[in-house]
Amino acid sequence: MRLAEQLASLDIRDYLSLAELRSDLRRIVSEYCEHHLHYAGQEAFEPFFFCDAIEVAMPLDLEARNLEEFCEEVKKLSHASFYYHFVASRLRVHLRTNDFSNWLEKSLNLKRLAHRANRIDLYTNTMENARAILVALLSQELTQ
Amino acid sequence: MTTERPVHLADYAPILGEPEIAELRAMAGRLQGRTVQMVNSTAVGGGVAEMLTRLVPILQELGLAIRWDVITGGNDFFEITKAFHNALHGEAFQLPVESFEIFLAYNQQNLSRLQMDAEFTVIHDPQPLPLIQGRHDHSGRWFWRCHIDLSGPNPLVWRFLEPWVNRYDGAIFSSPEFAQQLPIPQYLFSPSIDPLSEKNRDLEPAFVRGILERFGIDPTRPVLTQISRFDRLKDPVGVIRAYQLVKRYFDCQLVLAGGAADDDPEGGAVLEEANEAAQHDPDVHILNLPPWSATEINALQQGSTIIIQKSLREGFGLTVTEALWKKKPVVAAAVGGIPLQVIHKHTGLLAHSVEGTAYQIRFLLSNPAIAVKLGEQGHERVREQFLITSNAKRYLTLFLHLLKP
Repeated sequence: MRLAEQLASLDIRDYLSLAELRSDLRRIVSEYCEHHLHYAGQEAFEPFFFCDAIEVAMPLDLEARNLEEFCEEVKKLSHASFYYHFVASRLRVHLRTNDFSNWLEKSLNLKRLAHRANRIDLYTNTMENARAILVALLSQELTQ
Repeated sequence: MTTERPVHLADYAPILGEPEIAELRAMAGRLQGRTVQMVNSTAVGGGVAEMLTRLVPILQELGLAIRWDVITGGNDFFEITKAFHNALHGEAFQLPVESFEIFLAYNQQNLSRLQMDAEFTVIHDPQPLPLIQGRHDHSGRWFWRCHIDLSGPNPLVWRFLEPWVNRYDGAIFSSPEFAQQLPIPQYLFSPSIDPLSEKNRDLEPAFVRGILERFGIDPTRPVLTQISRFDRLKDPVGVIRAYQLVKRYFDCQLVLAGGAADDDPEGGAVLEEANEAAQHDPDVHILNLPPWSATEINALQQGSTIIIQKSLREGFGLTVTEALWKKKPVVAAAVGGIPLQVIHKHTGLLAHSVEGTAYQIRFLLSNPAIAVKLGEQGHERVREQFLITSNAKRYLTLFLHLLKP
């Protein structure tokens, strides 16, 4: 249980690359095995099935040139698109940020908003909740 | 008898949201006019036929040139394929060796009848598996979509089928647990239901009540229901035993409703076994429904207090998906693809025995607020993962991936 909690608390925002994340995963599991030898050889109730995944990315017919347009377009994204830009991008852009925050900061110079968007907790929110929080932050910025 | 109304992609927008529909259209943009062929062994009855009934029109509307063909065979063929089906679920195979020859001969016969020249061919389940020999010069991409649990197959039957599987470009399974070690790529696709089909659309409460009363079911007392084919692997006798244990504490009724698929010759015998186990209890309703009873099944599910799926082995268990979609509390066996849908104490309750099933039913009957919550969470899980549009998206993703330069 302790090991499961340790692994679950790894936050992809802390990593620049998959290699770093994998290295930490291995370190935590190895350390646990060293300290709990009787668990290291324990037979699993069910095996862990490793899977690969295919990512097919394609441009959508949506674009934003200002914050207002951006807020509107975020509402129109599918779950997969939101996941691609807001979650999967964290390891892709190698900047400890996500596509949205990166654009808010670099293209609109909205550093504080970019930072607040990047702090939305992905681990305790559903995709739908995370999007609702982001839209609320964007709307708030627009009304200021 | 009910007729399915034609449904269009836009009709799914109120359920999924416009962005999901727009995404499907965007993905299909690069697949316009690509030819796809789906082949299975029955046009009616069973989850595969139901799924194809909706998936094919959706992919057609998205611009793919898709065709669905059904192989034909005599009773001897379907007896053999049923024995294969059971053996792939781990049971003994007791038919003579000539069965393998008969199986191949029927496939050869179908091959001379079917036109197999699509860019993407998807063969569903073992019955039409040898059709791969109709592939010309490695043209097109061929996939075997296995809907059944292959985790512990009978070695005799699997040794016979495996060489055919290995000739495909890939195999598609419903869960990693069902897969076998194969030299070809394997893909994971969850099966799906259609929220707009006759079997799943919302019905008026008065209509539901009317259907229950038509079958002699009292809508004012708890109704426990298992919807499934009369198949030993669905354990209808086990369900009756669980009901008998619950009945000691609650004045409830049991509905066992299902039909027989064209490719399942065992149904009659299992139905008899269920009738015998029911011992003329007037509160046990065993309904052998014809294949055109989608609305009746929908009403029985919507009118139930708890849905049971006490299978001994299960592919994915689309009847569980249907129940969850209808926000029903589900008590189901932790086998096959059921645990992918029923997350214990979150979207339903899992059990491992007759006694466990009875206990979980009693728990839900005693705690109706928990039952409601489980039903709501189950509905949300199906919306996110197991609707027909997600299935269409998986096929589009696979085809797009294969077209990548």
